[in-house]
Amino acid sequence: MTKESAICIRLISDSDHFDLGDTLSGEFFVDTEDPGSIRAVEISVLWYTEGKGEEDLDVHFFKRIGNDNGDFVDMRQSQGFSTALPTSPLSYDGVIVKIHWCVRIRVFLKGGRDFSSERSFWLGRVPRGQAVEAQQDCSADDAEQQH
Amino acid sequence: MRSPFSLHRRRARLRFHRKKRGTRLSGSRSLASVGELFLFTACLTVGAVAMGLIVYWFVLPQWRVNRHFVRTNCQVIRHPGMKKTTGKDASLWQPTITYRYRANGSTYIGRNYDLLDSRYPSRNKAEAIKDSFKLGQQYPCWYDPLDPGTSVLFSGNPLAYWLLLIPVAFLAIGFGGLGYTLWQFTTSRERRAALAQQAAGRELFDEDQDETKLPAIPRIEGVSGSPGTTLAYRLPIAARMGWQLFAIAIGTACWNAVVALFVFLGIRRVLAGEADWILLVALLPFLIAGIWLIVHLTRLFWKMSGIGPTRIEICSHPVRPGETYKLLFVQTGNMLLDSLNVKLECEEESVFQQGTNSITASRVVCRQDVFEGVNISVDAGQPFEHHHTLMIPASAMHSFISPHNRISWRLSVTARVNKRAGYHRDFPLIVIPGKIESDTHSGASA
Repeated sequence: MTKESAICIRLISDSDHFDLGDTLSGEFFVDTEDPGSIRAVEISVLWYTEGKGEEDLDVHFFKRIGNDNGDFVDMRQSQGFSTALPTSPLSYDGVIVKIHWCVRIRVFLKGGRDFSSERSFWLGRVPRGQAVEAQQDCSADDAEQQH
Repeated sequence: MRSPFSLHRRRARLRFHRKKRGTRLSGSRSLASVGELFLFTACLTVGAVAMGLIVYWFVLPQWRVNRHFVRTNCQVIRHPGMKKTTGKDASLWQPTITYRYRANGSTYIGRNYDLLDSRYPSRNKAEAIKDSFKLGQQYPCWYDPLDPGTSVLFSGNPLAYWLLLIPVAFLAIGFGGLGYTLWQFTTSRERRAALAQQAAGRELFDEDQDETKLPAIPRIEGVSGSPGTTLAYRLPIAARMGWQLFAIAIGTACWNAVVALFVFLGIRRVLAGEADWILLVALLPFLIAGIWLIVHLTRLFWKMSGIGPTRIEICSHPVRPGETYKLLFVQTGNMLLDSLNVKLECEEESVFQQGTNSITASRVVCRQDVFEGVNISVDAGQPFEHHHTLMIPASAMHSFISPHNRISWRLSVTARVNKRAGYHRDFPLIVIPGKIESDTHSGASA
């Protein structure tokens, strides 16, 4: 029985917290018995939103390593990546808007399927957002408007 | 000992729904893509079939007329006439012209004006064609060398080629849509985001672009582009009461114009001795509503007439958490303010789909009193001015904007006016993250 492939990601840092402008470095490898089955790997450093709204996503760093262009890269070997983190947006755990940063590795197999793994980190040190109690002078709190 | 590597495997699956919102489930992107795939495949199929049929029935014969038919002369041998075909909805007219011509040593009788056997909804057009041929006159005609019995009087009918636009449109939609859907299927979301950045001209790691320096922060130029009279910047107002008054005025004018038209028609019939009492009675509620709108507009105008504009100036913009800024509040007009509150607020805003509705949810996550006053007198010649210091909380999240989510800061002004309607005005502020080196965005300090 062959075991399932998995992605291992490591961030080279003492903690998961980074300040704006810091350099994020890390490495990953794919734990697989058949490295030839990997067609391509995409490395992304990205942020995405979570919460009540639709999810938004933007990529800060993107790199694609293809095994389909003649150059075989053994993904069982550790592959490094490094990027200078941007000044915004900072990680944020709000009430209805949350912003998460992560390193996401996506592996594409030759059969057309893909799987991914991600390692979250925290950019900046913004404390958690908390809802303000509704007051008389502001009717916008917790408002929902239909369009 | 725990490995420093995070070991995880997440397979892409076909999900039938996304978030659960209340009792409803959002639709699945994968299923939507499958639906799009079917739709665009259907467009492609319809386009291909229609293209084949149109080419076979119309384009090829017309092309043969233009390229292979042989020109000769013919003589009209009967009085040109008109044939009328009556359908369910309309009648079609066709000129009938009988002519004689010689081909390959034989004489043939032809009756086709063009190869498409065209009929016209306009009688005038058919008659114009008929009138252009006279009995006994000679005219050019074209016959098929492979079948000399087939001939036409008109070889340049472009309709066949115009018909091609229909399948071409279907094929374009089908090909374009299929390409886009397949691209979405075969490309990761991260790659699409990276490609979208490139397409938008935002190169990854392009340090020279402002957008890359402060990504996902609302554009600053629009807010900071207005200089103040005392301090460096004048904050723009988010919503003006004047627009509300203007909208009500336009609505009132439109409503009453339509009602006045019907009233005029009703009165004219009364004066003519043909009074339509049903119309007049039916108009009554509309007339009352129109009068109410005028009264409401007049009262609103009177209440707002003494309320002048509010101006807030700040010494620097955008602002940063943990820093203090000079602030100038100016209220013009002619009124007595029972109370005046200026608050600094941060609001989260999310947009999401629920069924076919687009819902916007908002939540205030930070509110801080900036200035509070009571019994403030504002004269026309002497506006109320108040200098203050604005402190942005050190723990503040910066302003943020993405297609469906937003974090916005504002100075919120709420006033209760003696014997008049109160007002609420918002002045957006842009908060950027602190401790930015080589920052070129900060405004000049006063």
